[in-house]
Amino acid sequence: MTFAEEWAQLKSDAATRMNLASADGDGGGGGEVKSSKAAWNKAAASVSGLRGNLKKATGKLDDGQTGLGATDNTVTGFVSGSAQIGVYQSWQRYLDLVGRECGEVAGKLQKAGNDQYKTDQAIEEAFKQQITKPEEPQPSPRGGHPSTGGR
Amino acid sequence: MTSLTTLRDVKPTEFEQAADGYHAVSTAAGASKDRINDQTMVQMRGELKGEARDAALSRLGRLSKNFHYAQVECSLISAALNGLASELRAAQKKLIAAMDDATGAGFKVKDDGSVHWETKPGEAKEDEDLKRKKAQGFADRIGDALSDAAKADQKWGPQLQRLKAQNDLNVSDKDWADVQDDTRALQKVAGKYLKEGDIPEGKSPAENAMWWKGLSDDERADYTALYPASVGALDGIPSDIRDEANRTVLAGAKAKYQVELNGIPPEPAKYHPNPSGSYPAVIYNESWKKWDEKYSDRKAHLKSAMKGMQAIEDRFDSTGDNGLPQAYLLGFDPEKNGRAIVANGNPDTADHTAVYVPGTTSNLGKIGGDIDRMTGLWRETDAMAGGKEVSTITWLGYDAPQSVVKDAPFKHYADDGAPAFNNFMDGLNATNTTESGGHHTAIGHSYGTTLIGSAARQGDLNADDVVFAGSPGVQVGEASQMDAPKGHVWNQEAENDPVPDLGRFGHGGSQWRLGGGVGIIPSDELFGANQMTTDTEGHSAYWDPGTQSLKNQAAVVTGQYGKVNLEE
Repeated sequence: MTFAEEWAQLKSDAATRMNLASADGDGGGGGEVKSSKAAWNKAAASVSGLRGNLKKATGKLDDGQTGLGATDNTVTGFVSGSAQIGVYQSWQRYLDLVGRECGEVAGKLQKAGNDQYKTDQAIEEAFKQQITKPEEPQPSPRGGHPSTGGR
Repeated sequence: MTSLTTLRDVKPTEFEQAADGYHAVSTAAGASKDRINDQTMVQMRGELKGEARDAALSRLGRLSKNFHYAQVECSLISAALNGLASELRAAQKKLIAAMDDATGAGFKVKDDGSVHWETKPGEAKEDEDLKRKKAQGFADRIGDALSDAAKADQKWGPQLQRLKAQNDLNVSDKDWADVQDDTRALQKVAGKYLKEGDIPEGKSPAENAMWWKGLSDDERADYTALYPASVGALDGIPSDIRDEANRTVLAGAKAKYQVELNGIPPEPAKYHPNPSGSYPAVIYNESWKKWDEKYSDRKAHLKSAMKGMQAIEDRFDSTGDNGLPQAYLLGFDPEKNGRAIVANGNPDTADHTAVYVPGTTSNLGKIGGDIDRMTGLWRETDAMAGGKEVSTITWLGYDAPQSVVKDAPFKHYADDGAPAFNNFMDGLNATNTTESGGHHTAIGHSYGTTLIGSAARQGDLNADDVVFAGSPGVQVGEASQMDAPKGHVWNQEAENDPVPDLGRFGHGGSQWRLGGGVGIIPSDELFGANQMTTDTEGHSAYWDPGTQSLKNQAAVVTGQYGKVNLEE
């Protein structure tokens, strides 16, 4: 083992110990950086958990639509039945958007926790940058504002 | 028109299953919103610093708003689908009954709704006529059922249509204002399914609680979605339900007020320079006068209410600061002087609760200061409570006098508000789930003490301890009339607080017996309250952090009477 390798090993051991220390809630002065890492990671886990819960709920929303298909005359025979289908599609789209946003935010929180941004300013810029975008709304034959999906 | 086959074959349960799906989304979204607000953001505020954190927080704040929007809108969709299903089911039942009766009587009902019969050869004309008449009767019943279904359909269809989701991540004021309009529109058509009139009004909290317990889960969710203002105001139902309902009302009201404010044109200059250049140098601007008449009062109201709403939201956002528990909004109304009931910690699970009634000049716009007083009391009590749960509540549930000179001498503000206070205290007792039922303290400041006195005089004040601070008189002449157990009425009068002696002859009580008198206030020995020490100065410092004045109150609230410092 060369000196450089040994030094790298020492540094990494020290980092591990610091990590453990901060995990015990005893960050101390020098541990502050590490404990903030833990804070970012905790937030990341929390937000990605939200995405999981949202997916489960959306699954129930989909299940609830069984029997209300667009080809069923007892559904489309009602104005409300047809309206319901349009409402469902709009919520599918919106909940997907919110889910993607959870994903983006969780990913960035995690990156912040893993030191993948070089500076605090880089973290700030990452959160200010919006990657998740709404799906392009289908043009509505009856007009209406595109931001509401032609509502 | 609905066709016979459509109504005969439709499965209302399918709409109810769809409603369940939306309900699941609403519940998950609500839980997500709470987790972001009360855990994730709290933890980040506590453990991180700087602009990187703030940028992340603003992203999370927006995400939480999206969840709130989904929670409220999906609960409305769920209610609408349940309403539609229930009306379709009723119409379908009517249709099937008519068809069964027709078939049973030997008629044939065709898919187009027409009713047919066979004429036997040589049948008498009277028999033939009778059959025709009967057939007409069945056809009419079938027609009625179809028309019921069509009416329900045409009523709910457009309502559902407007509940489509937006397609962006910005939940704007306009979006919230739309949600409020959606709710109102649904209320108009929901009468056949869930009537607002069925929500108990003027009933006791125990009766309200019974009503709530008798509802199915779906009905509870749908009532909350459709009538959040009524449900939020209902004493006796669980605090977390009221909190959700009132937060919906708050979000809608705040957005609506902002939209309305934005629509008010800027105030024109009051005076113009005189165009003739001579005396007077300025002349009165007529268009200012018009603006003033039309907008001035409303603008002032909107701005004041907005300030109060912001203060409530600031309290929501400070959950977690040095251990501050979740806030519960137990009452809210932005109109007129406004209503706001804000709890630190859940009163349903608290061992000790304190309910604070603010005094003269309090209103929604100034609620921030009153919230801060109870935040301070929460910290003091929490430190003393030895691990017991405490909830401290600001109760602005009445129209307080708005002027010390013009209004405060009158008792009707207290008398009008007192029954609402009694109901609220009864509600706390009804919803508290601790083994003992909770230890409840009523705290009044200034005119708020008069209200508490009036509550005891008019009804039965359901409090284990009563604390008065800076009282101008409480309508009754002695502590024993306060309905609290003997020795559990406490009073504070600080140095240089002018209010007690100012109020004496307006709000003081009487003792009609030997050695009694009139104009008796809680500071008088004759009244018989425990006089607690104060180390604060004047009328408005009883809740200053770290003071003995506040510590004494905390000792009473936590039932540690031995720690109360009494006047010699």
